[in-house]
Amino acid sequence: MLRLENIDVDFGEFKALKNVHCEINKKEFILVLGHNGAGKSTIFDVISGRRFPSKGKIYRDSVDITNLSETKRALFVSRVFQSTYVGSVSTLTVAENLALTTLKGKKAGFKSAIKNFPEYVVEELLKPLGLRLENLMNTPIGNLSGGQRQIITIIMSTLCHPDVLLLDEPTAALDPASTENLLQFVHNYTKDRDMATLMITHDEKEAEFLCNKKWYLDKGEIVTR
Amino acid sequence: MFSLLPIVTGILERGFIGSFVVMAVYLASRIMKFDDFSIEGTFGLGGAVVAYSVIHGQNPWFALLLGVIAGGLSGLITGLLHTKLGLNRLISGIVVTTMLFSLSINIGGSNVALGSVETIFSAFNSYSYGNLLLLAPFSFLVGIFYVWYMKTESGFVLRSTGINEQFVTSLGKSVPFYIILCLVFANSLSALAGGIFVQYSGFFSAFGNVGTLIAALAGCMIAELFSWNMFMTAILGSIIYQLIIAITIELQVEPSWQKLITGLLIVAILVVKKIEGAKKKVLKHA
Repeated sequence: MLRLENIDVDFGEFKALKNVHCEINKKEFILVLGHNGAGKSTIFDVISGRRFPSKGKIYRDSVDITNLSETKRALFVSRVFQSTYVGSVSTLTVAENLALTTLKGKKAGFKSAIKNFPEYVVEELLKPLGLRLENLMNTPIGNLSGGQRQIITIIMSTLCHPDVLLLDEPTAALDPASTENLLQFVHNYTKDRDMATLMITHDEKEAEFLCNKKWYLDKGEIVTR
Repeated sequence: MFSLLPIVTGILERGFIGSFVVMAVYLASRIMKFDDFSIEGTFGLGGAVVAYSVIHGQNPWFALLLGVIAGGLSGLITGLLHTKLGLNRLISGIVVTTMLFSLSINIGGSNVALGSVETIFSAFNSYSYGNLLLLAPFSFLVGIFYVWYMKTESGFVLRSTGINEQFVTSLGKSVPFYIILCLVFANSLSALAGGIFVQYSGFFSAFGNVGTLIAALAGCMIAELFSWNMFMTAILGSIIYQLIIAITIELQVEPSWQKLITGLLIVAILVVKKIEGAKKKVLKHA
């Protein structure tokens, strides 16, 4: 589905990624592991289009998307950042954030935005979680706890059915109980979907049950697959 | 009583005209978090374009439209300087305002009286409070337009851009586009105010716009003390600002001190907000 060929990313003298070659296929759950500075976030930057590689090509199926901007790639690559603040608009309510998300891939016109609120999200996605998130629809999302906000962010990121979901240490800002809840949610939520999920984590054991593939990054190279 | 009425009318009239600039400052500084100095320049440009157009026989409403378009284009340039050439936000505004000074003085002249040409107020001259009859609904209509717009899909994305650019990128929307759109809105509003002010006062001065931004910022900060919709309280904030200035005039303070008074007013509001914030903190921890 997505193929990275001979990717190099240089920051001056320092090579953040060296000759990275890998494939991401449907339904895969890949744990991305490695020390700080190993190139984990840089590989996410390259996949999401936030950073262009110094060398190499990226293909979506057989189409070269190496020079496609982050804005355009957002239609098939969704990314959840480690900071809970990045994935949503803090001053808007949960319902308003969800309504906004439905604009992905569509033109933002002059229709009342809240009318786009995806009702099915409450019934099909939030109520089954049993976390009572459905009662928080009219709460500004900035007032939610980090864990609640991250769950909503992951749901928002996948409403447009992306090919690839990038989870960049989504539990970094959470306490142990919220981390467990979130990982369980990620497991249940991603297992029946067609998309590929990549998750950066420092806790391999904790997240191992989620994955069917692991990438170990060391000094900008994928050393084991 | 009889001497008070024209003063109150004047305060309201200038307040309604100033409300457009307060809305402009709110759009740029608060919604987009883009402190846009070009708002000061576009007030002058709007005035210059309108002065030139009406003196050369254009319909005053059409002249106002030309002024608004000129203001919008200036906002576009500020936006492009920042988003495409990477110039710092504040410097982009200062560069545009500086350029607009030359443009305004060459379009409108340094000091020009409109004389007896037809203005947007001419049709209302026969009514008592004619100016208010035009300005109040106009100001409310523009305010209502922005209240409505901010609830639309496009308005939601624009508001989100000021809070979380990464989120807007993740939506597949262009951050530069929405920054530029906001600056076009803001500078059109400022030019609208400048264009109306020239027709209201019957006079254009190339230096007339100096201090507009800071006055509007004061109006904006007053408006923020009320917790209603900002596009509506912008009108109130602008009127209260004009009231404060009128009081200083009544107290025989020389007009040359007005800019200092405006600056001190901003400092005073900041101090009040700081004290209020500290009080809330103490109550929270009590």
